[in-house]
Amino acid sequence: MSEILGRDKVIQLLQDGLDYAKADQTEITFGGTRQSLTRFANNYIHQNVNESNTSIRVRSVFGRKIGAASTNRLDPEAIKDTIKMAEQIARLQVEDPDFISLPGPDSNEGELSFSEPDQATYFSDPQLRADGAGVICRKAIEAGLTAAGAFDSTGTEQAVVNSLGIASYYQGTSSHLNTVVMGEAGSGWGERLSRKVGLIDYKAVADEAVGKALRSQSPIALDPGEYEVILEEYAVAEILNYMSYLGFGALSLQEERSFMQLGRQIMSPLVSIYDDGHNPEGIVSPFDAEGVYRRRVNLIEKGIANAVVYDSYTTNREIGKHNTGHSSGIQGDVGPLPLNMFIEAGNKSKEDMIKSIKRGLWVTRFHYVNPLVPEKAVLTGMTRDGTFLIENGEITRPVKNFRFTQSAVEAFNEVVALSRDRKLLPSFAFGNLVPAMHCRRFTFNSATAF
Amino acid sequence: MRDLANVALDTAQQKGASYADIRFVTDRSRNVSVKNGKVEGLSNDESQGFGVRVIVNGAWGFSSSSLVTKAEIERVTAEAVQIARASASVFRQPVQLGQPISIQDRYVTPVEIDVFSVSLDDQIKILLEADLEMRRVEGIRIATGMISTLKTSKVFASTEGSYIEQELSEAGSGIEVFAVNEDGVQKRSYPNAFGGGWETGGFEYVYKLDLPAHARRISEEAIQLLTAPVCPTGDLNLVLSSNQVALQVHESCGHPLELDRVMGMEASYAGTSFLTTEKKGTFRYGSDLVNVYADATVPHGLGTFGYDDEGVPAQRTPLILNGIFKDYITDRETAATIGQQSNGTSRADGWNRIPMIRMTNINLEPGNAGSLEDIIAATDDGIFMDTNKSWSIDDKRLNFQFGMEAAWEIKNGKRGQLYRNPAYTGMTPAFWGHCDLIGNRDHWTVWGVPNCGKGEPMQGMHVGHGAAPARFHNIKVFGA
Repeated sequence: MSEILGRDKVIQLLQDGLDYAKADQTEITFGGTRQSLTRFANNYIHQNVNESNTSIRVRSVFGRKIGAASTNRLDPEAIKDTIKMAEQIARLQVEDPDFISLPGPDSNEGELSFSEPDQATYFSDPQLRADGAGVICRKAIEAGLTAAGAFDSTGTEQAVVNSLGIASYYQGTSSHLNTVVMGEAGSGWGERLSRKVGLIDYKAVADEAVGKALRSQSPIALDPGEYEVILEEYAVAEILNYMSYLGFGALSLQEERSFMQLGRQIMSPLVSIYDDGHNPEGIVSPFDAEGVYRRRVNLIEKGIANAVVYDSYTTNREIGKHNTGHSSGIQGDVGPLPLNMFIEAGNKSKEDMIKSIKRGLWVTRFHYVNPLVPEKAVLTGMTRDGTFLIENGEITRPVKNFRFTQSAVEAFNEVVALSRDRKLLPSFAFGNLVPAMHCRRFTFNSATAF
Repeated sequence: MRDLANVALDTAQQKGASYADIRFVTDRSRNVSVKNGKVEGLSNDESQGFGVRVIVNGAWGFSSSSLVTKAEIERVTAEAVQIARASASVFRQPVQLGQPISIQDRYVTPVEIDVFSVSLDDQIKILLEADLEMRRVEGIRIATGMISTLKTSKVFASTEGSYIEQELSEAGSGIEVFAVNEDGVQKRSYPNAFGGGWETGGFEYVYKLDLPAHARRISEEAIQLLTAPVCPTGDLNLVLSSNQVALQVHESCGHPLELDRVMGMEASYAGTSFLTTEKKGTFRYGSDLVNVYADATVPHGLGTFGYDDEGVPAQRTPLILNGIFKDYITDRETAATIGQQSNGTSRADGWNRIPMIRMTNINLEPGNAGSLEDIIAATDDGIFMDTNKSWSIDDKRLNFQFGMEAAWEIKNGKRGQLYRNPAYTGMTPAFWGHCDLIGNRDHWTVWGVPNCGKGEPMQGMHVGHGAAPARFHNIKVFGA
């Protein structure tokens, strides 16, 4: 698909499907994607790709039996075949006692469309991305370093209709640039996410990554152990993503595998986290995988576990709960997810945060993070691309990378300062706006050779 | 299809491409999952489209579309050429692919029972029977099971004259239980965690797994884990189940052996590799027992196929012999840079992704230590850990840490105390250097890994690892 189909065409296509459907309830989801991505490594472009794709997903409901089928063909016959397949599958199902209904239009409020997508992002010019990559590569070459990275721009059309009256449609864009710049012994990182490709400041990304790579050369080895740390926005965003998956959704709470203890102080009073799919500071995504309006949810209020997010299924399993519009559309143990999170900014500059530390570590980002004890949000992973020793209020030396094994909740409980500047960085689907964090304690349990 | 392929190849050449290929791919899958006595998911998915890859002015361009028509192929091919010209503006050396390859062939995965011939009713029955068995054990909070079946049809055509058709077939299945108390959540899986077991072939694999027969055991172990002591800390003899040896091979052999990682082509995302090119032929990767092959021909391996996505035939390549690093896994471009021919490991996750170096079946060859129980019997003092729960490794593939579902103390050749939340950590060459026993071929399994991630946009890949239970001495273990 090389063009935007537009609201009228898409909704009509899906309504035609609903007219054909025979099930008690039917939901049809449309996704159209145009994604362009330029990758560079060793200071040249080595991969440069474009994808135009569509998807149709059907959920058919007979009583409490649900079946699903999908195709990426848009012709009417293919859509009819997919509806027939979903209905056939639903008839084979057994009753799901926890299923009540697909969401109705009363789940929605507000306007479910958004302004026209950014055309320059939707139909990204490969030369623009090449220019961005070129600037980074040339700056790396001038500094005697090697750059690698990826510059992406994506346009999407999303729509959901169901036989109860939901008819949600949205066009959106996003653009993401990251780079690692490497020397003989040490590397630096830069990354940006925006709704518009034209707002990605690739020169600033180049300066940040090159500067950090130069400061990272010849790292010293330190013993692993407990350190006071400043986690840069990249590191914070990585941890936050895992917290969303492990504990901020209703399903994990209902199944007793969430770290959230509602009403209790589980983090520092400085930490407030909310999810808001409509906030223009993020990557706007006004409705969820079921077409339901995303409500703002205050997950953590001044360190107190306040709420989790719901979809229609998890809402129906509890009395008195509202659907917050956070269906991930993913089956299994994932359930509803917050994908547009914001951590409230603090009032410190990063320089102030550094000055307040006698001995500690600056962590740029983490690599290959995974949960070790999921219900306690104990994560493990490596530091990467810029880890520095802070001594007497100054960054003094680069250090070799550490492995951390640390509860994310406990780390957020140790927060003593947050930066006033925040960065928008990728969530599992959209974006999170996060500050840098100063934590009193953070546990590193081993080190690596570089 | 041949006519449509020629549209792309002719258009690309007319627009200045020195090389072009096109892949038409149709993926079809059926997924059945149950949870706590109900069918949680039942779906049928299909995706089809094509991708065109071109070299223009020595640089790559790729574009793809789900709309398979002559006009769209012309548009997408022109777009790929335009993208390649943009690539050439930030440019180092022209891409070289080595010797031209021209093959006409057809490959079909051998199967006994067609994966789509078994009714969904019968699949649900298998899973609900296992689910019921799992939940017969008091205290089980969550019981889940899944069966996935896939078919992929591929056509590959290139300007070098290749035209290859492939019909691939896979099946995967597994069960998991979770038990909860005030100390936390405990999990057991069969036959493996994170997606169960997987093979290329037919539905016979699901029958062979016999999920219901293993359901009660994993439930009982999950309950026992709730009150088991936390795994002790120390430097111990560590015996690993074969499914964990497979993941250890994946993370600390498979990925570092990828030549594109070594060359920095994945640096910004997955990372690079400690296994730099001057180490080839001399570097001691592990003990003399450690022999690793890339083998895309092994029957039932999840990384088994006829041809890779550059049209290179499936091969068996020695990578580590008697502990010495011998070779990388390569594609045409990276192999040419070190004066070799591709060993056929370039694959793409669907029509909309470019092929890149992916593990095929990266196998740790069997040893002569017999079974798991033989290895335990040969161990005076140590610990046995079974089935992965968590994995992480640094961006050069040196420092790793694995969490495991369960561990048992080994004393005087016998299994003793059960431990919860076990984990172990190490550095890759040192760890493999401490490998002192590997089970024999009778206890060697080609494990399927259906969730290997690499590249941007992320490409998931199905790969395999032949592995037997094995022992490693002096390994740092701890309880999480």
